[in-house]
Amino acid sequence: MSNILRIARREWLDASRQRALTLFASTLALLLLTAGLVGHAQMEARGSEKHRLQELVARQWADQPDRHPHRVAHYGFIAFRESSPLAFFDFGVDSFTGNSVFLEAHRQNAPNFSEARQSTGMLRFGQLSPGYVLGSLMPLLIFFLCFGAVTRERENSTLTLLLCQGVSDRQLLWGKVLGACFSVGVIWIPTALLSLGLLSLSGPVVSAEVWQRAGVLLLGYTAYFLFWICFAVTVSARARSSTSALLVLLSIWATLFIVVPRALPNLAERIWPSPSKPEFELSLHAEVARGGNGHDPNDPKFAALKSEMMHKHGAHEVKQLPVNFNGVAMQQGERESSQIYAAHFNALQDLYARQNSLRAWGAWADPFLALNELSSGMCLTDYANFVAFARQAEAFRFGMMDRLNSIYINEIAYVGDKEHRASRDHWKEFESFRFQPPAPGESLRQQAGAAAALLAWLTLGLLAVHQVRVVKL
Amino acid sequence: MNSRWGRVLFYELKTLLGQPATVGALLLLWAVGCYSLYYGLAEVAKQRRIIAAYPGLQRATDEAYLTARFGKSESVGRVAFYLTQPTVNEPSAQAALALGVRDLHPYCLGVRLLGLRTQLYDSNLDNPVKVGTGNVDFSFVLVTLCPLVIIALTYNLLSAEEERGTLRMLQTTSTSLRRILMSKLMLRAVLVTGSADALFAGGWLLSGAGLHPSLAGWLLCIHLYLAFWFAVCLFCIALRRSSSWNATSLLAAWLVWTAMLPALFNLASAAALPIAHGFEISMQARQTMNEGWDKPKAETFAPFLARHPEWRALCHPVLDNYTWTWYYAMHQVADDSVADKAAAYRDGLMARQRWAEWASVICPPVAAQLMLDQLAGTDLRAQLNYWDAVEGAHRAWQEKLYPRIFQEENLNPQATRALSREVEVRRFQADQPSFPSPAGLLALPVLTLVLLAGAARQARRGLL
Repeated sequence: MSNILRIARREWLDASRQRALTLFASTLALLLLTAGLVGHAQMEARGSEKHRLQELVARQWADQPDRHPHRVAHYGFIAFRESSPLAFFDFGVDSFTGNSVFLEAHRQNAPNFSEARQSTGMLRFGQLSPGYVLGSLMPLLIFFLCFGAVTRERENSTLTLLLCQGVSDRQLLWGKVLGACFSVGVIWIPTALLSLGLLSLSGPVVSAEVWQRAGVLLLGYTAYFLFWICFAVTVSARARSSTSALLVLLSIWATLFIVVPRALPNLAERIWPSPSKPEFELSLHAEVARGGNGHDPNDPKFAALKSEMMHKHGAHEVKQLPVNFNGVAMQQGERESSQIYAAHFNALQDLYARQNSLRAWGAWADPFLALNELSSGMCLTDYANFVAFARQAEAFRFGMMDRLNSIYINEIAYVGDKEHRASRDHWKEFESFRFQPPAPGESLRQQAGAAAALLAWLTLGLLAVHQVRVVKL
Repeated sequence: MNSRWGRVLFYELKTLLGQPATVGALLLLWAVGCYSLYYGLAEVAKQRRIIAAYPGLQRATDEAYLTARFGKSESVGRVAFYLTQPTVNEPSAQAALALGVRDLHPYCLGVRLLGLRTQLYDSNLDNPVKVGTGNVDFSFVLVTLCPLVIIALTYNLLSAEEERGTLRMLQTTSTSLRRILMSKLMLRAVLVTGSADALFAGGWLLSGAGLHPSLAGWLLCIHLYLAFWFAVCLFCIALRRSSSWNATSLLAAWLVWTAMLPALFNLASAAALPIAHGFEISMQARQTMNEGWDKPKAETFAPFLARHPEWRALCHPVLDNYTWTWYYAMHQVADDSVADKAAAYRDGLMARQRWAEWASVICPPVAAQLMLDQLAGTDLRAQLNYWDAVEGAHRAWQEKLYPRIFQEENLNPQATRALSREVEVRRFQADQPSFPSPAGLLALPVLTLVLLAGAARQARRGLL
């Protein structure tokens, strides 16, 4: 044990004396600080903007004058996707998903106004968030830190000396791992503390759920760093020279961090092609058009409904019904079209989920992807979170329209229909939209594969250090 | 002398191609390069297919709707309500080489005769995960991957010889270190530039761009960019440090330029040039439009005619009952109410584009990317121009139909069908300049020369 500690201490001192290394590490620390502070400020600004607009929309809704309920249905509502307080830590796909969606009668609109659409081509180079720096750049620092862990001892002829003094292979390697852990910890622990500090600043009360998520993130990133340290030390133990160790590590970095993450979603699109917007929307509208037209109560598609209602109420004419049949037809049309929208939307989401599964499976081949999935899932910036928003907005839309149609049915007289207005008091009874992100347990279940893969990688790394024999030459 | 140089070069090539690292790096470049060509061409072919199918699809949908619903005589205003003006943003041939931001925006946009502002900023239908990771096109290979290959091939040019102890031997057999270095470097430059050129030539030919005037601009960008990275490596080699030091610092440079600086730029541009989000535009347009229903009709007609004197002669306001004229006037008033916000939004996006171009002066990868996107007509500028084109198409359509709507003209079923046939798709294609904006084009050679001067200074000090 004392051998391990001694080696770790020397490794840490060596590392802190290397100028290039400390320069790289301080750049990283500076980037983390910038990304954390600016990212947090930006997210806060965006968040309060969306919050303000959501309240404005709700106020404008409540302040409507007496209006025909179907007029109100076309006026509609706008739902904003409020970001999680953790979004500043890992942007995930947050910048590429719509921020707001217009909810209106007869139509399901797609969420719109993503950050990416208001940016230049520069966005494709990557976005600076603590998660990005820690996920892609920290492993690089680890490689620079560890590539010579064993090879340099040999090149300086200190390896034999160490081994003669009774240090075992295992002690040497664990010492190196521990030493690198110190160096990584010097950056990681302050970053984690800073992020937690920023988190406690977001909003008056940060819920327990957010802290649970932060806890999973802390564990996940720690496991991730530990794996890469083990991996780099193992490579160094098996390499013939420092240069070849570095070369192996850098090519692995270029492959796993640059090529694979780009190639997989790209490839998935080739394997399971997505429908184009016109194809998707026009076929959807054609199908909706084949159903009953809610605006036309004389549509033959509503004939059965009409005769059934007239029979039930013993009416001879539509205007004798105790309810407004125009509203009934409208409600029926809305219900039918919403079902069609739901079916098409689900089919599209299934397709996207299949495309994304390739990336999720990639977590077993590329630890970076495992971390990425877990991290964006925990920060609520992943695709699942966006789909949850789109679904909730659609459910909200349907509930709102159905209720407006009920007002139409019960409060607007059939005779002179369009001339009547429903009281403004109705609009104040509607609640505003509020996005409920998935609970931490739910996110963790969605990311179970990624978490398992990360754990498997860590186990593999620890086992490798435990088992590997140092090449003595 | 010449034959000896030939022999040296030959042996150098033999050793170079005997190294698994070199072969691996070149193979990676070729494999990803070929995939990028396939991907870019397939993506553009897909966009073309969608664009080709779209107008027919739109017309069939609109006509099916009209025939199902309109059996009798109808007012023009009501028929027009159900019509859509299709517009398409066609990709250039070169878009296959640099897809730019085309996939973030819809390239098929149908607009109805209603208010434009609630329709214009429609989003594309796409998997955000795929859009978020970006495209593997030729520009990605050139901008991101080629520098890595150059670094892998050159980082230990002298240091490896030195570390193996073969440098002194080499020096005794030939005249100068400088010539050895230059011949080694030239060999690698030929290999990498040749590969990039071959990939580019393949992509250019397959894309069908032919003798487009921007060809010179493309070649200039590609070669200036590659020359810049060779200059970076030469400068690093001239510092005469160890192989590991070279590898570390060159990779760090690559990282700073291709990842850190662009990411910082993004953050800075978003912070320095805040854009009032587009949703405010659609929100306000919607609010104004709907308030129109609750107000006396005169309050809609007054601003409408004040703003559009050209329609005063034709438009005769009816104030006591519903007319389609009033309905369309409400939409137009809503659009007019957000005109300055929409202009500010467009200007804000343009400012971000200009800002990025100027910032790229110190970041060659961003400069190269923006230049290639610009040459291919796939940058944000091209998208803004497409928006202008859609606006123009919408206005032209208004000018055509508004007079007939104002007269509350009635159409029989045949005339209804004829009206829907009259709606022709509007095609737009981005301008492709022959040469990109000067900022990036000047920055690349300047930075290259600075690095070369640095290397020359080392040489004067006797280190080379």
